[in-house]
Amino acid sequence: MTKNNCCAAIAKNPLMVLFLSACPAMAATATVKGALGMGLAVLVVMVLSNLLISALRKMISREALIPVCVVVSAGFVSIVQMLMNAFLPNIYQMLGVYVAVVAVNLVVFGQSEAAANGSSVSDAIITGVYFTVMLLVMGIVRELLGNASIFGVNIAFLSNYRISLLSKAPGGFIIASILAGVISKLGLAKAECAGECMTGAAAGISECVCACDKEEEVQ
Amino acid sequence: MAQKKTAGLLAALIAVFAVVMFGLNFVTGPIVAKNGSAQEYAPLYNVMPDAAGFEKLYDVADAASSTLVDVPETVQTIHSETSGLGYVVRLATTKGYTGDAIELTIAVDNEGKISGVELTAYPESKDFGAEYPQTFVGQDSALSDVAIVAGVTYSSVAFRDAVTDGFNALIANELVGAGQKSADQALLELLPSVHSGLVNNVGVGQFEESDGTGNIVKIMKARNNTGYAYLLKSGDSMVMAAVNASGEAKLVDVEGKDITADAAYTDLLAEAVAHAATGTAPSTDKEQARLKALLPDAELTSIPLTGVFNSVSAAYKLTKDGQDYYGLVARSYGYDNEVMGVYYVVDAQGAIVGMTVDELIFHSEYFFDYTLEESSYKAGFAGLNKDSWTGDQALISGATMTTDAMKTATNDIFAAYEILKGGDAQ
Repeated sequence: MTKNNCCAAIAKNPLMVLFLSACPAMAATATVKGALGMGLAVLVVMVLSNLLISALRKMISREALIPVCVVVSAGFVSIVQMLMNAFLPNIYQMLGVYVAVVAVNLVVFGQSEAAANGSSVSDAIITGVYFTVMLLVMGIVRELLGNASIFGVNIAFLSNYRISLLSKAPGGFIIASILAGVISKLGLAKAECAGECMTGAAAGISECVCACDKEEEVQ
Repeated sequence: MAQKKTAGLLAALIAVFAVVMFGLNFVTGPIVAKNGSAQEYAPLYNVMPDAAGFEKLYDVADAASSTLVDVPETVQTIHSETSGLGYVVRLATTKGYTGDAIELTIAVDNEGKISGVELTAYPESKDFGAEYPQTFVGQDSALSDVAIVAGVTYSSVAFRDAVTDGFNALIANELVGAGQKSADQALLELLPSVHSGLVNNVGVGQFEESDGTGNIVKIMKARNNTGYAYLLKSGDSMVMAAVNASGEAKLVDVEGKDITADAAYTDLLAEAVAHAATGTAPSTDKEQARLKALLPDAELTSIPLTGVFNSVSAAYKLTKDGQDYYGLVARSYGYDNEVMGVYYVVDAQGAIVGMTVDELIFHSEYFFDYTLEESSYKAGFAGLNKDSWTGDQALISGATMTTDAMKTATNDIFAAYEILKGGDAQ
């Protein structure tokens, strides 16, 4: 992974920099399986929504953008829900109502808007992957330290050191805050980058020029 | 125009999604239904993994529609395995220590033996260990080789009794056959009804066991000095003798029939009584002092425990100011099965005049900030007779086993009083 991509993965991350979709992120990241399930659900819905809205872009007026984005997101979320319920019942039960909440997920919404503005599907894929990676990181940390397990497999030597708070909701906020703090401390998330990206619900994040991109241009 | 276009677009999108989801439901619907039943049957497959499928025979939520009868209340569901491997019974018992439900699932094969056990919920304060449920595998309804876990008596007895209930439900409906109990097992199960002084509040034996000689196969000496029980050979069968603290004996056969007066067993009875007489009688100084403290200046005379086979270990006649009283000493089993000496003075009308106890045995885990006002607790027994005694007066909040021990002691002294007074009247 190039420095540019790595920087972008963190600096452009909707969860860690803009704290978008914090609610489902906290709910789904108690376990790695849940985090992976939520991340993939968001990725699939985001990509499909992006494709459909890109195809219908010329037919969608400015006034109709939000209701169309909602209908498209909700439709694809319902389809994903039905498929998860049938083929991934354990993960579906684990995620519960938070799968449905993806329909009004700001990250998905923002990508749909970006698609209406001409953004390509690769941006949706990248954003979705970045989001999933962050969820996975949170899930790994929370399950390892909170439950002394990984992917449901117990790790014996950690069982005496687990911090059960981390597997509950407050623990999710604590881990997210720590990760955001680390990212901020490392200087990877630039305030100006986040500020530029704060137009609408993450709209334009794919157009946000990260500080790393600026350095690349200078070189 | 733009609005119409927007409305049309939205309507078209909704219609397309509706059609897609309608079609998708035909594919996912059966899979979801199958997943749902798989989840319901997952606990059954855990104990009978080779099962082809299950058919529900009984569900406590809809007991009226089941054809099964005499199903104990601990039984939640009974399923029959469709290829004839046997039955799976799900049980829930609240007879453990905490009173919350212990849940378990057992698989019983067609030979009437347990082929699988799973503990699915365990809310007790002490763990009886993962290996305890597995000791039931291979056992039939007799449960001959199952022992109670020391120190976790209430929980392990509750578990065992729940398994027995499961068997009883299957046997009552002729789904499996009953296991054969050995003679000594059948006799030991009669012990709580023959001489309850040798068992604790949940029926687990509290005695020192040793081998006998002659016709005496096994000697059981009560830890609370209330006497002995013996297993004796009688031809091809066995009988059980119980001897109380006064040396009086009774004899029962494997079916629980009292054969004390049967001349055919006179020698066996005499053998048991003779052995009991060789035991060292405990000192009576302390109990006499306790009783005299309850009724100062009374004259004390020891009386035999004629017909009394419970936790009462001694009885006295007290006389004060021309009035007669009974002094009764009960030794029930409290926390950790420690023997609790409880002393009562009962008047001629059967009402408790006073009660005291050697020590109300508590365990520190129950009493963080709670302090029992012992004097008022004991005073609460004064005036109680067998009609006004409900058992609630013995309650010590948070001390289940001590409360049960006090209930047992009080029940036993009222029973002993009736027997002894009836004997006096004759």
